[in-house]
Amino acid sequence: MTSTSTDQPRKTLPARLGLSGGAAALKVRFIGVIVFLALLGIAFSALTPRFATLDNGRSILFTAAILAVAAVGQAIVVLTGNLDLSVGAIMGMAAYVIYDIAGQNPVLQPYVVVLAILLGAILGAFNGFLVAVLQIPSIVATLGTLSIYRGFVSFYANATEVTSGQLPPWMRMLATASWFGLPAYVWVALAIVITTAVALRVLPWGRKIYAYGSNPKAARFFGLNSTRIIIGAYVAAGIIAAIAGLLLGAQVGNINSLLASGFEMQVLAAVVIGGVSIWGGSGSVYGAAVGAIVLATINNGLVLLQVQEYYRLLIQGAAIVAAVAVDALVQRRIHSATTRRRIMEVVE
Amino acid sequence: MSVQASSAQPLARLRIEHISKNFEAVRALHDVSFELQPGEIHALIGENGAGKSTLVGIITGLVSADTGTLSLDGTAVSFRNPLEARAAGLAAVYQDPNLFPHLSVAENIFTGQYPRKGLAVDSQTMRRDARALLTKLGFDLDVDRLVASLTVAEAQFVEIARALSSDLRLLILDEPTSALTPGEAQKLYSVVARLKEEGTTVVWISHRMEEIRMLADTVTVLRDGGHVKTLPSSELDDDAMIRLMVGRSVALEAVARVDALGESRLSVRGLSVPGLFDDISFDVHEGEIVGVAGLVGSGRSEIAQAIFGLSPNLLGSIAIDGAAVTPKNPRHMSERGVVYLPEDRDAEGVISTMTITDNIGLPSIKRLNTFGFMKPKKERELAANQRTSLSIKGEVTDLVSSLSGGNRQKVAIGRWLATNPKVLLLDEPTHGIDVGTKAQVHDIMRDLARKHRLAILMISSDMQEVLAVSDRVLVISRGRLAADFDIADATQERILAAASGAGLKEGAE
Repeated sequence: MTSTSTDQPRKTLPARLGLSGGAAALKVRFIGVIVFLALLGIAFSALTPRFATLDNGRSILFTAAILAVAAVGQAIVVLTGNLDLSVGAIMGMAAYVIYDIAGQNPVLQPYVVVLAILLGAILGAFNGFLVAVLQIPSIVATLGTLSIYRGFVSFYANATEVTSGQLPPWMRMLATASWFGLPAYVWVALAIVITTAVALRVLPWGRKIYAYGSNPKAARFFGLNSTRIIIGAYVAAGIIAAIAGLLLGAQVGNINSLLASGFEMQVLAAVVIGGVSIWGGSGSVYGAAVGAIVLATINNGLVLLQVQEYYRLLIQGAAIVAAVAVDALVQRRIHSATTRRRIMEVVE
Repeated sequence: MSVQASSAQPLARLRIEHISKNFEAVRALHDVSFELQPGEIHALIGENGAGKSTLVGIITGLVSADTGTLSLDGTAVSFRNPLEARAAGLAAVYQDPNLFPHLSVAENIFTGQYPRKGLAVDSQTMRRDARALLTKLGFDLDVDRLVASLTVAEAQFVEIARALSSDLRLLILDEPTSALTPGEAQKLYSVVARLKEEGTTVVWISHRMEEIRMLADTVTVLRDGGHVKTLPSSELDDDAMIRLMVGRSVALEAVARVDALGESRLSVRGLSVPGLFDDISFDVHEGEIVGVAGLVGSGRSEIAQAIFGLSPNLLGSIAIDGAAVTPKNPRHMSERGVVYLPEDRDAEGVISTMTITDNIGLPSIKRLNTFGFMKPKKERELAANQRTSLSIKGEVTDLVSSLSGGNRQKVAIGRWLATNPKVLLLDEPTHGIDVGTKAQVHDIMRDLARKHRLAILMISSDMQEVLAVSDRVLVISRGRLAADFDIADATQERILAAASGAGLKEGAE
């Protein structure tokens, strides 16, 4: 007889580790990223005494904060199996346009976050419309909106800058403030990461995003509205990107129309390294945030070691490819486990 | 559950009236009417393509009917999606598990209808209710496990648990036991019996005669999209059921073979792929067409694919013209003269965005270039030759996407004939093709076998086609060679009996 082992439920990795359930499997992947981060830390500490200091730790977290916020938004879209390449452009537009308007109308200065939410929702909804309603592959649709949004900022800016004096003073203060020993931005990022994670876990909205990303075909049988799910994910991503834009703008001070251009690559790298599956359906925003810290750590360590820029690109690239390769393997395992290929009866 | 406690007049649970459905030119269902009674197990049987799946789709709101009505317990209903049907107490478990692999068992059971606590999903209630549903099925499963880690049987029970709601009136199971072991199937039988006692109507779609005999109260037979009969199962024996399923009047013309067969071109001995099929042996001779019958999912296509080098873990031996070959990959096999035409020709058989010329030239690119540059003139000649000999409608510069199904199939055949193959493996060569073109494709096949001395292995679900074209018929049932008939001994009844596992291995050789 053939030795089809499907009769005995094979133990999954989390089960073998004594953990149980879906949350546990995510945890295992999450642990993988943490282990990678720890190894990086050990390596850099061994190579330079300047790495393992409290100040340097703060500096890494500060660099990672904005990237982590943007990565959280991107993760929501990636969970549906799509991409948002326009994230950098949305950040740039939000920072430039909103600070410019608020600079000219000081009454609006306390409400810049509300404006960011509105603008981010509109830009995200447009992305979602292209992907879900017009069914344009997301990589092309958001490549297009990247250009459109960036082009609009350049047109709007007309080669001028928003100077740091025009920014709301409280945002400028936030950028340099330190609370309980950590930069304020780190706390803001932490709050956004946790809020998003809880929303994804607790709200039906979040569960549907995971479900749709896991198996879009089954979603139809379950009566899920895919259009609404995808647009919802892009709107959330747009809002978070716009807020990340405000944070970045307040940090740099003088904002030109090219703020955050090329940022999408860093953001996608963080998401993928953080263990969010590019095929959708699995991963967590905590992972994406840790992915951002990994990238910030690599940058930081290499700067301290005074190595050339191209090493950074090489290492970052290798980390992305390795993360996706692991994902591809997992994906194949899942696929072969859920596709019914057993035809013969196993005689008992 | 909602037991219909002796209501005054017996209302049908579901009345299906005059349902028709066409998919473009293909008639899937035609004026189907019958009733399902409360608390019965109703077997729905028919050959591949008889319209069972379409009917289930219409009942559950996945597919919309062109005409006709459904009434549930006396009220007219029409569902726009499976969720609406489910809200009304109708649920279906489809042939392939459709679950979310990355989510937990509990989440899979409740996706689309999460219990809420305010705005949030009430995880505790969800897990508790999921556990209760599984216990009700007599199935002990950790509700926190990811579906990706389940066995096929476990996934199937998750789907059934999903279908159970507080007020389940009708449960449709489409080939529910085809991937289960006998022990697992037994479990499912007792669940179904329990549901029946609770007043739920169960529609059981199956090809397994022994199951139908054992479980069903009533049997409905569909054939070619039409309703044939609805009868109490006690009034039907296996033979009668098979007769009702196959009894067709339209006949394709069979042409007797006159030339003698040559040497064996494809010889297969003890071929196995663990889990898919086991110990398959046969020969296809020069000039012979061997039909492969069997139910969809019996392993027929997998056998052809394995011979073409698409399966790793292949056991057994294969010889082409007497020379032993171990299939490595499709290119390796096509270099040895073996060609496979897949069933889904639009996805796998032709490249519809390219012209007829480009399609036909593709496998012959090696012969058609000098130093890496294509020779357009030779390519056009080759395409023109194939077009004439196969009478493909349309110019060689036409895009394949502009052709009809039959002509696309001819292009698919033509592109491989241009490589001068020895063995042709055809998977459902006339699926979805109109009768006229069907006969043409059959003529082409006969021509290839008789005149060009090819060995042809043809997988087909169309019984008429198998009988009309084949010189010999292999019947595959659940991954095993169930019968090997000479065409003179083959009848629809005998083939179907072998395919459903009713008889033991019989036939010549």
